[in-house]
Amino acid sequence: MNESLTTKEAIYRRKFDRRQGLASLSPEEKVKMLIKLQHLASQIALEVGRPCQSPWLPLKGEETAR
Amino acid sequence: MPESCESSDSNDFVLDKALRVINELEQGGIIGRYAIGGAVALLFYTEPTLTFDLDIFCHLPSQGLLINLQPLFEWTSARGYKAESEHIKIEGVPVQFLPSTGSLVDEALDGAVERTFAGVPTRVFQYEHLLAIMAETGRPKDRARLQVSLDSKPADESKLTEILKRHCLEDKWRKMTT
Repeated sequence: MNESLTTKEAIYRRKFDRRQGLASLSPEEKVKMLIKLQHLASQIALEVGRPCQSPWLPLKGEETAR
Repeated sequence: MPESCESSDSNDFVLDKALRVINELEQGGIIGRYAIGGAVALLFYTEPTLTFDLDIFCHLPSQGLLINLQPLFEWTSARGYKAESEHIKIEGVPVQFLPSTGSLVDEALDGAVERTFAGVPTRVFQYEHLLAIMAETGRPKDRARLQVSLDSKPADESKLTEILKRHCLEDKWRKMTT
């Protein structure tokens, strides 16, 4: 029981630390991450046939391919 | 994250270019005092959450009760920035210009803090105002974002309580956070 609680706590702690780490990044770094999230979201939307807005920047290589 | 998801240029934040244009709009008197709100403003405080829009809260010129968006559309379209539904796409970023909707946004706009993004000066709503606006707006996505934000960064309790009291949002806040 105690062991399982410790595992839970450890997982929570790890998640918490990861989120704190993300929150402490600079806004510039976060915008880079946001653009990656936008690409991921638009790719998923495309695959399930849902409309989605365009990411702010093209993917690497996409710009020259256009 | 796969390598293909890297943005085209690691030095290119894109938002800085859009902010430069928005600063020009303010300096030229096309819009009044502005500040970043919404999910992009949260980036200055918490972990990043998904958004495609840049919400710019600002004072807009008005004639009587009607807000006059014509100068804004004329200025931006003359520079090749196209209006797309409720946005104007500026340097690849869909920007929504939002006039104040009430006393809370007025206060948030007045109290917005000076920040820089990639060397570009800008203004951002204070964290506690962003939280209060989410409570006031009360959409399902605000509730979700509110929870993520609070998990990521706790609010200044006394500042938040004062804001919620001043704008009679304590009940809404309780409903949104329980």
